[in-house]
Amino acid sequence: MRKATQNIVGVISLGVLATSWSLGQAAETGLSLAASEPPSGNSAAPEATATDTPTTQPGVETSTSTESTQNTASVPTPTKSTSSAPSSAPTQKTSGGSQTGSAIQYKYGVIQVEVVKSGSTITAVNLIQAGTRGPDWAVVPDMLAEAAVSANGSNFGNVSGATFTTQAFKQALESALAKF
Amino acid sequence: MSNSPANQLRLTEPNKAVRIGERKVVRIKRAQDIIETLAWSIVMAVLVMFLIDGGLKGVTDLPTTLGAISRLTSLLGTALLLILMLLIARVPWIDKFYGHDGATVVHKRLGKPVLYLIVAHFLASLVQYSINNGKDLVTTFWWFVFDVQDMLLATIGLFLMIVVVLTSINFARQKMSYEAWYFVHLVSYISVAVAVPHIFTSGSDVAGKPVQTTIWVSLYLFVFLNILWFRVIIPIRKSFRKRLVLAQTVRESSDTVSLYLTGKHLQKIEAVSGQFYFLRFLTPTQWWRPHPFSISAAPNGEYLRFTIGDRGDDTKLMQNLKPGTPIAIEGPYGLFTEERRTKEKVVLIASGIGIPPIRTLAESMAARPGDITVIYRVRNENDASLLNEIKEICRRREFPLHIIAGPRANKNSWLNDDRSNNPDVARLTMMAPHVSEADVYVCGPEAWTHSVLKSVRKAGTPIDSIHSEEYAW
Repeated sequence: MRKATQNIVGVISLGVLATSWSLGQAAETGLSLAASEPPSGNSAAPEATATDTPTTQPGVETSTSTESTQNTASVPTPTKSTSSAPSSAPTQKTSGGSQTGSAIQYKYGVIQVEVVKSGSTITAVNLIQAGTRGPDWAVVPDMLAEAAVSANGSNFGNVSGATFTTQAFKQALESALAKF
Repeated sequence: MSNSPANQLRLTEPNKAVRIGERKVVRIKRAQDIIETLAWSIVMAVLVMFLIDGGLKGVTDLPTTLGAISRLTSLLGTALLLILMLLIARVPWIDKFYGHDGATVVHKRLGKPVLYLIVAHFLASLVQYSINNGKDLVTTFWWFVFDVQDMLLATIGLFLMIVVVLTSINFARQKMSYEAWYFVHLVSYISVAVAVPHIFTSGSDVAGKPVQTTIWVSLYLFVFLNILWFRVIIPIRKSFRKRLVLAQTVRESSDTVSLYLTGKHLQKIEAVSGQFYFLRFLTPTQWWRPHPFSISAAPNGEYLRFTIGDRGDDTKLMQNLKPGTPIAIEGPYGLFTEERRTKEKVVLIASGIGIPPIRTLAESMAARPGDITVIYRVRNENDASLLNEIKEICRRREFPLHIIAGPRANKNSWLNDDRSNNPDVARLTMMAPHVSEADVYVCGPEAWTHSVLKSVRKAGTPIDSIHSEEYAW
């Protein structure tokens, strides 16, 4: 490349890079929770397409299995609990305040949650199985668990870029809530 | 044997006229600027997509930094990889302005940077997820390979890519035969192909992003179709149409032979003097590896002729090919032609097996008597390839011819020992007084060529008027 062309291209490149950087700083990054859906009844049934309908499989083993063929990021520890959680909240599956839902099989793995309630308030949602699309989506179940606690139910928005996981999570959550 | 093509010297009419002048050079440089700007804008486009997507926004701690590094290196590595592949796709609009050898040189230069970027991408991802998942590197690696979709294939691709680059560094190339290297290099297509799925299923900058997916799919398709078209379909179609067979082999010297190829539609052969073809001899053992050879007679509608030296390996086998062997061709390629000429005067300098293109240029360049000076460096005047032909051409067209025979004057000299102790530059200007205002065409072994080019530069010839072509593969 001739010197003059190099200089012109160089200056333009710097300008373009700077512009796109500042646009990027203002942009919403990758995975984010969308605004809540308008309430539509007690439990908003997740819309699922015919081909990818999450199917409830009560028979699926409930123990966390690392041999899963899908990308199962096993999260056995309680992950998210609000600061206002009652002091009696050690989460044991046998305690009266917590229920484990069915394992929901969906496109990218299996999702199963345990819900801890105090009265009518959800104080914690623990992930028992949380399969996601891939490593970059591993944070999605945590985001959803947090959203479930603050929405006190399944009426919260979609995580953009993780629609299937959101839907499966909501089913898993509702199956646990139904046991109270 | 009276009808065999090699019996008498057959010369074609030289070109009637040639356009000369500086504007030719300017036009080429302008085209090069456009092509380089296009290549650069591909790199810029992936950076811009990354930045607009907020690629640097979430960088706060070590894992997110590693994530950004992993994304950036993969994007840059892939962009350069696609450019690198396009460079050897023998695309006419690249080769026309850089030459097949120029494109190959850049292709070679990009090899290592691409590998470094891809390895950096791999390592950054590995460490990032190892920290995020709280597992050690080995566990994370196994999880990646066996649990994450398409990552097993991608890892195989990385491994193959390392093998391809290792076998292509100069040190390894010197120890390997052309055939072995060629075979390993074919694997690079597999290494690229198996790495593709993981980009579209788990690439942070592609998967689930329709705009980016469209851009990357088009880039990949563009490169793939160019390779398919110019490296596979066109050569096969051309070879099939021409149906070339080896008509005759003629020994030219103790270590060179001329291959005369005949076939159909030879009047329509596109090659001009100074160009080369890749030849595949369609025998059961040799069909899969092509070899580059310059034509050694200007295309005359009757036969194509190549004069090849015995470099060992396959070229040794070629000297014993049987007449009737079918031959597939790819080409013509190369810019070592009159198209590049910008001056009235020309100096043609050849050594050893570099003579074929020089011989054809002397035959067909437009010139008046004395316009072209030919210098031919040989080991031994009694055992020099095509010597009688070049003598005959220079006699008929009245070109000064200097045959330089015998051992070198000293180890840096490209000339023989004439006991004068004159430096090479002085001897060059004595042989070709107009060298500084001439187009100089040099063809020979790499080290020798390098040494000639130094003398020519010292004699005052501007760099744009010096033409040499490497046997780059």
